[in-house]
Amino acid sequence: MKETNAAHDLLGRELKSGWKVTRKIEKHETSTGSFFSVCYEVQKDKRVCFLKAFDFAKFFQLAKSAEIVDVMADMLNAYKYEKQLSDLCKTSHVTKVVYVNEAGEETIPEYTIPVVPYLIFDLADGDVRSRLEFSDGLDFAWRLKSLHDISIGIRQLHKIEISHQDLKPSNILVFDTSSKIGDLGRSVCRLVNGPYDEMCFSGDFTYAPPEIMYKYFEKDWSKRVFATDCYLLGSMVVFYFAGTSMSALLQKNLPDKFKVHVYRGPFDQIRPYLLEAFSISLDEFKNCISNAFFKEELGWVVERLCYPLPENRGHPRNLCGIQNQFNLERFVSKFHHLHLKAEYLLGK
Amino acid sequence: MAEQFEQKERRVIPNWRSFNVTACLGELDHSGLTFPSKPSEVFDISDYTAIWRQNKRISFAADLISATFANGDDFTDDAKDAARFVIKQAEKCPPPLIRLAEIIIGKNPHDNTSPPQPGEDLSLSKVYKSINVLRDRLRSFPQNPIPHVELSRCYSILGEKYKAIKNMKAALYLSPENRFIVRAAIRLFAHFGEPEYIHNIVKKSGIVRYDPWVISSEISLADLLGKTSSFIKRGIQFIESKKFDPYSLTELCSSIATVELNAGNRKKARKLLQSSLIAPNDNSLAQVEWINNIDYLFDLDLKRYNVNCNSEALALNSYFENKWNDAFFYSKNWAKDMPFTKRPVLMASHVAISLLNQPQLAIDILKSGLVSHPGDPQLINNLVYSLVLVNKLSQAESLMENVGDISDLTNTTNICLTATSGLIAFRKGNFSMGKDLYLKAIEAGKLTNNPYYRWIPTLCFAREAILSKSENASELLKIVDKVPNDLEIPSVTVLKKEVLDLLSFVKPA
Repeated sequence: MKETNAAHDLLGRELKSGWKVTRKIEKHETSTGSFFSVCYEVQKDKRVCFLKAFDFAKFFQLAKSAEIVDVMADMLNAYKYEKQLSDLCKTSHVTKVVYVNEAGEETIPEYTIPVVPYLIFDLADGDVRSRLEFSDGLDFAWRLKSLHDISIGIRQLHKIEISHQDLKPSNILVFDTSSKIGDLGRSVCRLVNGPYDEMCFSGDFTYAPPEIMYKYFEKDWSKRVFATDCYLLGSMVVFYFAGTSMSALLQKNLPDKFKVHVYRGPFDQIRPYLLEAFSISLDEFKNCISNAFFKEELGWVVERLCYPLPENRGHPRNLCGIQNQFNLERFVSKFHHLHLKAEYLLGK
Repeated sequence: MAEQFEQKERRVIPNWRSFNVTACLGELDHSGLTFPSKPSEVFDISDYTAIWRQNKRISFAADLISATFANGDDFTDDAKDAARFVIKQAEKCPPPLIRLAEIIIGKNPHDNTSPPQPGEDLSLSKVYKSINVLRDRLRSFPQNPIPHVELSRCYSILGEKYKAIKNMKAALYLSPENRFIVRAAIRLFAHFGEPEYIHNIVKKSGIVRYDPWVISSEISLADLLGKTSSFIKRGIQFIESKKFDPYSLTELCSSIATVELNAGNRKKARKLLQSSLIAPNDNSLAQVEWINNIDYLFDLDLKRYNVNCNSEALALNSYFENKWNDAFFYSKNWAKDMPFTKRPVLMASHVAISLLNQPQLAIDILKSGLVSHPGDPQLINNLVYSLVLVNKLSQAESLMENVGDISDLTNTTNICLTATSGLIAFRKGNFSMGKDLYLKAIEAGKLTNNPYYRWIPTLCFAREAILSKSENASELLKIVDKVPNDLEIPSVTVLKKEVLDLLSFVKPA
């Protein structure tokens, strides 16, 4: 079907901002794209970037007339919010997160809705799934490097009071040798009002930590959201080496009666059963790593980051005293150390 | 002579099975009719599916499989396709991913985490293997209370009281307000004769204030200790509140009914027991069966109830209805289900030896019973008796030396051991010593009010005297004739018939 709205007609154009649109990136080519956006590759001064154009016409296709205003307002808020977060990241020298480099709008007069707002990001080689090889021993050091990068990214966001909330393989973008976290769209920030501030969890439910799955919500905002990021980071470690998320492993190892789509009781009663499933999952994860040193070290990291009871999650040294329980600084150092060790062993 | 299976007082102390089986039975489900949380809805994972369709690589398959698994058991064709892709490339995939893929395509529906079938045979090597696995798991993750409970159960099966209690205390420390752990602890401490200790903990806990499964156990514990529970009123309120599902109230109704019956309130007890049968579990069903036998309250047809792991109720029912083959079969299953308890072993061995006249059937089950109750005089007596009857005299003799603490033996066990010693003496050819021991047992039996212990030593003596030809047959006939024919004790009737048959062979009429 021929697309007839302005957002789909940017290919070959030179935008007011000087960017030349060189290629249209099809949906689902490598990453999950928003339903309301059209993606392009753009070039300026030999720099290649990624452009996300907002497709207003989609709202008219989708929304009932009474809701159009609300839906458009939501979209504009999301656009504004992502830009605000990006500005915050830019001024705070965040290096391991893909954020908006430039924002603007293009007018194409021949369309009914001629204005196309857009955001420009760094263009990644793809998401981590296109790079990950579970069986490749050489890949081991790269995986640890990638996890180190991600942990830095999350740590940098936490420092400016942003919680990503949606860390999953499709949101880990690979740039040559480094990895960055993408899609701040589902983030929550203490300093900027956003569309998901009222939600207890704004990310992908299938990767959510157990307390969210079983509807146990910590009232303290920072405890809740940073505990979630901790878990999601640990779950990424599991995905990198075991090929599955921690949430999927937990669900597999729980008796049927306690699986998330069956259980209807309180979180309190399920705690020991989650610990039991977690302990089995942890063993399964460790068995995926042949080197005894990395098995123990990564097992410990996953245990601390993915601990199913949020009050016990985090580095043990942060659990006592008045420190921030979910501070990732020590885990960043740990990943760095593990990466260096893996590189050293590789070179030997 | 074998010990009689006695109908001891029965209370609704929780039955203790492994975590997976208990979860499978529904005893850990939420008990209220109002729910603190709705089960999670199924989320849209079409993005994962679409990307997988365009990128047939392991990592994309892995992402779809993970999302599918965390999102419920409804596996789409695309998820199955991804799972088959993973299995085809198994050598390149990590084992947890392969396991998830296998579950999705139904190749391995009974994953190692699936609950075993209740009543599955439990061998000793399996117990030791479980202990090793559980200890390893605790070494790597000591905060988990469930392996402590499972270890405690394994040690109970091996009769290692100290280790069993130590592990249960650790589990209680880690999770003092969990139903599975508290109920397992109640059973353990009651089993090892320390109900006071656990009662003090339970009555002060928080969970006893809101969980009908725990209130029921507290009431039974208090009853066992001869106390009146302060939670009976609360229990009755729970039953009348209509806020709990009937399955969650079945043990509570049953335990309060037992208290009421002991207090002489038959009408209340009957009403409560009938309530317990709305949705019974194995424990409440066995309780009704037991109560009905000592004090008939109403008709009970066990076949009407589809209850899992109800071997105890079926064994009691078959025993009370003199269906000996069934009683043996179900008591063996009961012993497999509760391998740390003695009662099913005593029932199975009594039925096999005294009623089916097949002592060889009793030997295996008695040997396994002795693992959890080493040196138990009742079990040793029955095993020695069985071994002698199948002509394994030397084994029997050496086993007799293993009888543990005899200082606190009950009178009836003493009678059995004396008579069994008499049997050994007879079979060894030492007739006068055998006769002396039997006469001692007969005299002691006369002092009991139990016709079983009154007459069985006499009949055993007569049998041995006939077989050894050490006594005059007509004298023996006079002795046997004294045993009343109208006794309603099947084992006496069976043995009397056996002795009379032997006599008729020796001295034809």
